[in-house]
Amino acid sequence: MKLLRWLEWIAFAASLVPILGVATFLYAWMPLFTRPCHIDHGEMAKNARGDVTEDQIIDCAILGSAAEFRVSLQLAEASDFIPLVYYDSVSNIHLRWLDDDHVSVDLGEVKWLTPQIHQLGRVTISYTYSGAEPSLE
Amino acid sequence: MTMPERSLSSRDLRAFGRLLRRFTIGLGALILAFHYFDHFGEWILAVWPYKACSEWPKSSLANAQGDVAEIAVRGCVLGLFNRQYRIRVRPADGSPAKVVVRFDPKGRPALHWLDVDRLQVDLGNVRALTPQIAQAGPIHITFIYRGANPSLD
Repeated sequence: MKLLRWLEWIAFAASLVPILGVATFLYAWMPLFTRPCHIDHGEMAKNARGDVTEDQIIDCAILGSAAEFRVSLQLAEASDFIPLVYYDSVSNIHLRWLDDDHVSVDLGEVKWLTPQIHQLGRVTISYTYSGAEPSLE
Repeated sequence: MTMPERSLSSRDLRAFGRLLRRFTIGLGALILAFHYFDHFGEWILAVWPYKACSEWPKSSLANAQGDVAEIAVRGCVLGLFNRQYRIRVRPADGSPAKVVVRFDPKGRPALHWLDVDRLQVDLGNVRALTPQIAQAGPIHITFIYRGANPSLD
């Protein structure tokens, strides 16, 4: 009985090591937990007004989450990018401003994509893709 | 016969200390398992018998042809987190069922079949909604809503 109690105390002391390790890790990586996602910037295109459309990869440090590909648009007067479509493509995508108010997004052959945003502020967005129908699942 | 108060309280403290010790040991073992075994987290998620998120139907409406439109609610941890409404259309011709919009309503959404292949979805006042899918198999869908613009955020 006494031996068991000693073993329990030893296990308790040993357990403090990984717990303190995790606590230190959590403290050091606190910014990652408050903002777990980061954006990798890919191909971008800008019009004369300063609106920017960009291919992006969102990678989140959350268990079970996979990187997401999306095309986003940042209006000249806005500070944030607004996602226009999420997709999973097997080919390179192409972004092209037809004029200051029209942008063309060529996603190529896709395995999956969401329904798209076609209008944002003054900007009209047109899409070209093949291989899949828009899905919300 | 009653026990002296002091001995009862020290017994409680000892029991609490034991509980705390065992909890710490368990937590330490769990951390080591996560650290040393690859894919331990994925394995737990795979064998965990209760799904964190689930979906349940709220209402549904069929047309004369047997196509069914339904309003479903999806939520995580008994619907307390990430609660979200969905409209799903199940065509009778064997085309796959499709979620045509996800949204966060302020009021009660309603479904109306205008005829056998035209469905009108009245989402009412919404806080947020996704872009919509206007066709599911042979069925054309129109949406009525106010309060928010479609967003993928």
